[in-house]
Parts: sequence; structure tokens; C-alpha cells
Amino acid sequence: VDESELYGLQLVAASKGRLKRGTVYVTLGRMEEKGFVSSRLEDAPADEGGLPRRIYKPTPFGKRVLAAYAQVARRLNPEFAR
Amino acid sequence: MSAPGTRLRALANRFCSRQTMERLIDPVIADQQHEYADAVRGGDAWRARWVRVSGCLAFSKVAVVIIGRALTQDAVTEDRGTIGRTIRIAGVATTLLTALLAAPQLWQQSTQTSSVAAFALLALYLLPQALAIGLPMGLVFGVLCGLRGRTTAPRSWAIMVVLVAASSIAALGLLGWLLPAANQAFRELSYRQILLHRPGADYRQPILLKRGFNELTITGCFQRTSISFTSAWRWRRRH
Repeated sequence: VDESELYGLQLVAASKGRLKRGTVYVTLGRMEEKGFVSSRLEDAPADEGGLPRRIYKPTPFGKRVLAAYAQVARRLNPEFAR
Repeated sequence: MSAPGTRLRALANRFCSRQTMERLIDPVIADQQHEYADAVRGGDAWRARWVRVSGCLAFSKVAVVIIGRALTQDAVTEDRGTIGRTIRIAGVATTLLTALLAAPQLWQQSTQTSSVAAFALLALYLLPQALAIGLPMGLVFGVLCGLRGRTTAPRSWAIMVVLVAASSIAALGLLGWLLPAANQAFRELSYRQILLHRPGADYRQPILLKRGFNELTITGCFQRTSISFTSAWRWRRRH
């Protein structure tokens, strides 16, 4: 999740139930507004119909915020580090 | 058969901005369509059905968030002023009308009540009756004065419609249940006040007055009218 580009349902699967498929895009939309993630439309294969999926990746600013948050959380709650 | 979510997307496209479509609606629909295509390719009919259902649920969750956001945050600043003004005028008008309607009855009761507590209770019981007339009149006055000479965005109209609909539901609850209960309590308390002034009357006895039509809830009215209707029908059959 740190480095790769993922679309909504992959994030839902990676979060092990923390993110729900109904709210993942609302959360991602808010994170994008705050500059934590950036998104682009995937290149859809020509044979497949349907809309292209939106894929997300963390911005350098988002990574810094995550690192800072993780550091604080580790100090406050050592369980978080495990 | 069209790809899942096509109709929902077309519906959302009518109401949502381009940014909302790109950031919230399209990703949900796209995921659903790709998952559905995978299930169909794998020959898993049940999974395909489940993807359709879960996709609709995900869409409805996003729709709720978008509607909530539209109602609270995205109103144009000038329109928010208009809405606030309308609500303020409606609130003041409702309060004044309610007070005006309750005042004559309260004035009359003030000479008969024995204590301040009883008078305050009577005023409280009178409020729903006055509010039942004051609320719709105040609301109409507020909307007419608040929106006079102002151009409002469709979104603000939607907020108004939601507010008015919520007020209508509140008025229905008021008329259907709260008002009859308050009327009955008012009658019983007034009767007790009368007994207090009668020498020898035992005012400590519990007072149980039979409810008239003004003191019946909606369900009570239905029960009584259905009994009356059944009795009339039986009488007609007999004669």
C-alpha cells in the first residue's frame, strides 16, 4: 500500500475489513482533497467494456504524514507497533 | 443486458457535479463493472448476482454521503444566508403566532388557577394546540418573506423542501399524538382547578374524563370511527 498503485476494492481487501466498499471512495476523496493521495484513471483494455477504474497512490506528503502519525501512535500505544 | 450500474450512473449524472461523478460515483460503478465482468468470465452466476447487489449497496452509501454533504456544506454562501434568514423569520413568526393564539386562553385560566405551577402546566398543555396552527402559518410566512425577491439555487430549493417536509412530519406527529394527549391533560387539570374552588369537593381523587374527538389520537379516531361504522352497518341490516 505504501508504494504501489491500488484501486478501491484492492484497498478494501488489503485493509482486512477496516475499509468498507461503500465508504472507501468517500475516504479516498477526502484524502485526495487533503493531498494525502493522488489518483488517475487506469488504462482500460480495449476488449473490456465498462468504465476505467480510478487507482490511487500515496503522495510524498501523505507518506510523511503517515510516518509522523505512526511515530506518535507508537509512542502513545506500543501495541500499534506490533 | 446493460453493464451493472449504468442506470444508477445516468441517474446520478443528473444531480451530481462533474467532480463528484469523477471522484465518487464513477469509481464505485467502475469497480462493480470490473468485478461483475470477472465473475461472468469465471462462469460464477451467483457471484455475479452478489456483485450487482453489493454494488448497489455501495452506491447507496455513497449517495447518502453526497446528499448529506450537499445539505450541510456545499450550499452557496449567499444561498445559505437566504436559508438562514428564512428559518429565522419562520421561527420568530411561529413563536409569535403560538404565543398570540395561546394568550387568550391563558388569560382566562389565570383567574382560575390556584398556583403558579398549575398555571405553568396549563400553559405547557396549551402549547401543542397553538403550535398546530402557528407552525404551518409561521413556516409559510417565513418562506414567503425569506425568499422574497431572491434568486435561489436548485440545491437551496432542495434544502427548503427537505426542511418543509420535516416540519410537515413533525406537524403530523403533533396533531396525531401530542395534541390529543396535551388536550386531555389540559381538561383534567382545568377540572381539578374547578374542584379546588368548590367547597366539599374531593380534588385529590384521580380525575378520569372521557376523551372527546379532540382528545383522540389518530389510531383512537380510526378505532372509534370503525366502531361507529360497524354499528351503523349492523343497524342498517337489522332495519
